[in-house]
Amino acid sequence: MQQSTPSTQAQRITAQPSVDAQLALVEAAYGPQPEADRAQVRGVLDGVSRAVAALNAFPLSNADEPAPSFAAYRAD
Amino acid sequence: MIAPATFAVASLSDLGRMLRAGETTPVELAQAALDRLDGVGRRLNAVVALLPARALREARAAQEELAAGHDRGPLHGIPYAVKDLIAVADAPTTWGAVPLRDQRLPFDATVVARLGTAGAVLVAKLSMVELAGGMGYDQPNASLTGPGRSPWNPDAWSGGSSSGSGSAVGARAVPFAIGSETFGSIVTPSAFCGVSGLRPTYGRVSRRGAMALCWTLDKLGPMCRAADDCGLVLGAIAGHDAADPTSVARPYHYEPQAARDGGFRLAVLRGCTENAQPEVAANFAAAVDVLRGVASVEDVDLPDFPYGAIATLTIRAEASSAFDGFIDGGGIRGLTAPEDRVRPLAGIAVSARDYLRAQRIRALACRALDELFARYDAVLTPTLPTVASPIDLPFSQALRRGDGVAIGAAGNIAGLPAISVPNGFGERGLPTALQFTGRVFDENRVLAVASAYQRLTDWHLRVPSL
Repeated sequence: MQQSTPSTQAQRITAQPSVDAQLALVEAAYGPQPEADRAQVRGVLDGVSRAVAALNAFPLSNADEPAPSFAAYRAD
Repeated sequence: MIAPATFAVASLSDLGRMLRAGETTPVELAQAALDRLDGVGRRLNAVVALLPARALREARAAQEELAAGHDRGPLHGIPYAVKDLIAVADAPTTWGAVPLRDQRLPFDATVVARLGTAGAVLVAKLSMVELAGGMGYDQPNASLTGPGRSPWNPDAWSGGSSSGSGSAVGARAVPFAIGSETFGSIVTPSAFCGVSGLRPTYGRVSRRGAMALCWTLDKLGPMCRAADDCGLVLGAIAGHDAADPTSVARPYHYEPQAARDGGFRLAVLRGCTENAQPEVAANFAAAVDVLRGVASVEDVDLPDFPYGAIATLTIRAEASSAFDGFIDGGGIRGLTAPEDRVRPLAGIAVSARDYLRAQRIRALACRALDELFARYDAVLTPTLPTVASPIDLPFSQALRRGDGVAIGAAGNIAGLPAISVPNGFGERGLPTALQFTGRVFDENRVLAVASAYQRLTDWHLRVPSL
């Protein structure tokens, strides 16, 4: 039986900060926001949070890499 | 002298034939475009700036060259316009944003330079949603030029973010325009304005000189009167550019495949008309029936991936970075749509880990989609489940969220080519549209089947009464 390793073991993950924590991060960066603006930002963060949950539920293994976007550069 | 009615319906091939037969001239065509953009174009909020001096200079040069027998090809002497995120020397390049209304970039984008080499004549910069919609707009009035209006019903939105490109081509003011798409910004205004708009494979067309919203999703593409015209324009603008490292080295040559009028292999995305407006669904079914005469058609499902989530994370993270200075420096406070002044702040909370997870899943999704699309010339869906929304309603009230998103998200995160063509009319006399999505680098197959559909129908020849 092939031993399961981090390279082969596809896993879902669950850890993600709450929307409240993310909103606190936004206000730590940009200062306190009026209530109407907080609601707008919270709406965006809610959408991002749902998206992150969907991504976290998709199992990935260590061997699953992003499409390469970096290439070592040489001018000639 | 070209009659307005002729100018309104002529394809690029028609105009080219007329130029070479002496029935019109590049100067006459440029003036016709300038006049129409200045009239109906402005009424539709499609115009940022007309470029008469440049247009007439280029038109005269084209005229002299053609008279001397120096023929640059099918676009020689043809007027066109570009979305205002594309740099043009000696012209404003506002990105649709009030705070940037005086921005001028001292060079021509590669796409403009290539169209110049092809002999096309630049006549205008066209309106767009501010910052290509990347700040999270929720209403048509999200541009320094006001809400884009549909040429079929000015109380309806033109679609965005290439709003002016859709309106101007739909109003028959220019034979073609260059738009851009991160997620929907070519196909949506094409659908809402009744034009044929091609989103090429990611990397086909150089983005040098175009505003960046999302580096790994942005594409430039043609919006025209017909699919064949899209192929002719793509042939002029595609190709590797050393100044854009994301542009692909794979060469592109438009091959009209006019002789190919049968034997296509098509698929319909299962459930793609659920929640569509009745006329959208009916027109889609009718279009599929037409295509059955030239194609085998079967139902398919997309591979199961969280396409929308991948798109959300990718766009949020990359847009937040692309505009980090503009956001943090308060530039967004000057934007038109109130939600655009605030929503971008959320981008700082998107983590690198979440972004990278999206990219890892994206790589798997791309391989699975390629396996599916390799079996077909195109996968068919309605471009959108509705006709254009009313100009005075926010999208959250007017449009159904989540409907028809799957092919949009899948197609854009995988960089797939797609063309939207008109296929009838629906509510309030507004166009409906059909989308052909193809395999990476298979633009010619997609264009061939879309052209075959347009030889069998005449929706693309309908002209709005303005």
